[in-house]
Amino acid sequence: MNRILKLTKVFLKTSVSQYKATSKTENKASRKALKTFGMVILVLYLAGVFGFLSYGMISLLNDAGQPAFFIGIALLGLALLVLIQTVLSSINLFYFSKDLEYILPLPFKPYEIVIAKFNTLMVTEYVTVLLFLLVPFIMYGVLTGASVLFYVNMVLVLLLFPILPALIATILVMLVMCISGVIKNKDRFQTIVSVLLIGLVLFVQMGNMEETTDDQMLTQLTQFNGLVSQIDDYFITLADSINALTNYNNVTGLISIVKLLLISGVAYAIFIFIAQKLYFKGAVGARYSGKAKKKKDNGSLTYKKQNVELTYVKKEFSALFKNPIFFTQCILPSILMPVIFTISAIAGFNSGNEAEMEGMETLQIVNSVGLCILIAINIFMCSMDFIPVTAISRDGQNASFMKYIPIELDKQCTYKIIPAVIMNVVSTIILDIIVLIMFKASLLFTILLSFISILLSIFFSYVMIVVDLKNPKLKWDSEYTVVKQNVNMLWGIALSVAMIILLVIGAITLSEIPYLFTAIGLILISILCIYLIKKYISKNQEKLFEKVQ
Amino acid sequence: MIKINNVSKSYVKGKKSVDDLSLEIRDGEIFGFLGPNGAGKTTTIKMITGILNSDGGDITIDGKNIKTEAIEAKKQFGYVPDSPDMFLKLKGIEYLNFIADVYNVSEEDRKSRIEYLAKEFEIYDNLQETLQSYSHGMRQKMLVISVLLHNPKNWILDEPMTGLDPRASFKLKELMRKHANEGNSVFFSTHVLEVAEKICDRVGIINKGKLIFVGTMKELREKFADDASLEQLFLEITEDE
Repeated sequence: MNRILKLTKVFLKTSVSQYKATSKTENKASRKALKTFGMVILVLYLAGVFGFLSYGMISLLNDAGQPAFFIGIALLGLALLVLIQTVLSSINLFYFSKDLEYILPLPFKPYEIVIAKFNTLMVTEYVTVLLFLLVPFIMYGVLTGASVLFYVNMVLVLLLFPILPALIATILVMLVMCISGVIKNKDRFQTIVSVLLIGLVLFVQMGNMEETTDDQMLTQLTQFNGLVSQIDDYFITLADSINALTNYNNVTGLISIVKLLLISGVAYAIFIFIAQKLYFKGAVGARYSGKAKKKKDNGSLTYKKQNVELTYVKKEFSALFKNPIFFTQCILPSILMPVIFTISAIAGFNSGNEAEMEGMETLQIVNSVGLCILIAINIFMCSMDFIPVTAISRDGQNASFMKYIPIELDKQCTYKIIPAVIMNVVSTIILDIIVLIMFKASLLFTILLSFISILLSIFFSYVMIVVDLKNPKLKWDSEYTVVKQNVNMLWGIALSVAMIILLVIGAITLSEIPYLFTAIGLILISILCIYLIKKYISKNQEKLFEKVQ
Repeated sequence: MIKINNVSKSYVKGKKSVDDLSLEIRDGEIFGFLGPNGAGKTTTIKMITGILNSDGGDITIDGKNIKTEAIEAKKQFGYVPDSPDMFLKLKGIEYLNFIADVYNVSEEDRKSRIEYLAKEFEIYDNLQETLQSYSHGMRQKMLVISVLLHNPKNWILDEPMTGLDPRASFKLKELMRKHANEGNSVFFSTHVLEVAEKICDRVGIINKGKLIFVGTMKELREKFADDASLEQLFLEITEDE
């Protein structure tokens, strides 16, 4: 046991400790304290936002007499999040992290490595759990006047519930990786596997949703158990988790906790048994990818000269698309979000409820309020884009390259955010076309909406690259640590939430003003924001790049 | 020509990693920069190339100040870093084209240089493969080629021989000599004393951030124990400090 803990600690340290300041010069206690203070403020701010959102939702459900529905939705969302996150993380952690080649020759038993790796994975999952569910659940407890037993059960459920989805996803990954021995291009294979597994998870979820008509949904809202039993087909621990949090005062709650403990324990034991058989088959040699056996024909070598801007942006895109981890974590979400949105919209169209459709069309969104809300949705999608916030860190130790080539640093920042902006343009356009069709919005309105959203995404990307420069994560073993264990992401969420709040306030204040004026105002503000952040980067480029060494 | 005047750098307050260093790498010479691990070699090189800002002093490359005329100064040198693991997802040819674009090398020049250098370093047949599939030595060769591609006057090489096979190492030394003989400068750090002895016109020895010797190998022998081996000399000098 001691050996497993020690190994877990090593795995965690090699990934998480990289977050420590990379600059050797930064040892001042006051600066560290300031940084910690900044983090605390950020976490409190996010907790406040989640708390506020939960408050609204729980109050609404409380009025409908179904507050427990909140628990079900939250846990289901968590299960989905853990599943997707584990698919992406476990491939990297189990198969593509560098530490494996150092650990394998050491006298560790296979199960010790498997458990230590899984523990490392779970730490990331628990951080997600804490971030997304702790405050909402406490809010639920407070609003429903729960006793102390609720909080005890809450801790237990939050600890136990993510285990099963994480185990299922990891086994799925191991099964697929087992056959990877015969695959030549492992990078491409890894990308395809990630996309397919996420597709599978989403397909199952959507299939589940499609079976439910609006009337059924309403019934389920009032008959809470209906939904639970339906979802429980996929996660056998869901019903017990909900029961433990809703019937905490009686014996059924306690039984549910015991059941949860037993199911998770048995699943864990089965996992260790299966993983020992599967893991090492796929793990050995997984990192050594793409070694070409045959020499390729050099007749097609091209020496075409391109301008430096284009070649730089192409290099950035190439790194994003060819690296499976960066592809799945940076590119995929910005494609996935509008795709999910589109599928949901199409499903809405096909639901056949004409009255509802007419209702949508007559819904007045072609006004200042509608414009602000739709821009806010675009900004939310922007915050899912990890390209700018990892723009520097993705280069790792190579980032110093930026400093010795003869291109101004601020220009390189611009080249680096272009892929992010392009991805945002794609998602913005998809979303806005849906708006155009669904709400029969005018073309002018749609164009203005897209234009403002793109301007704001440029501003957002510049701010995020500054965040990355202020706290770059350059010493990493696996790309996984850059995108998954990177606290800088929180600043993106914080900024987008701040922008959304400002837009909502704007929407309320400007509700009487024609949307054209609001749009012009927003365009001017966006341009000013971009000008100011560009000026800031250009003026402080030396200082901003201080940590890139 | 590279001029370093009274340059210092501290990572931790009160402890100088490079202490008041002054050095001149003249045109037409190969200058070897020697010193034990952690002596300040890489820090010095990083300051010359603009990766690190010095706390004080000036560095100019062909008269261009690396701080105040950064872009112009950076055009004057080619730099091989100590780790060759760069842009691993790019194909060899993609990487070289990228570097050629950054340094504005014409299509004719890049074609002739890539073909010549890649064949010289026996890597031409691998140009269509990703750098990820290259061995350490092949990546090192690639870095060297990328530096020579834009034909800079000043070469700055951090441990350039590490990982190179004997043939490639010989080739690089030959190219360094040719470059210096054409009136250009080569500044490189190394741990391999024999290499320094064989190809350097002058050497500098740094220890604990301070430059403790600059001169030819002959002067080094004259100054210290004449009959000692190079290794013994090196140990003696760096231990005394």
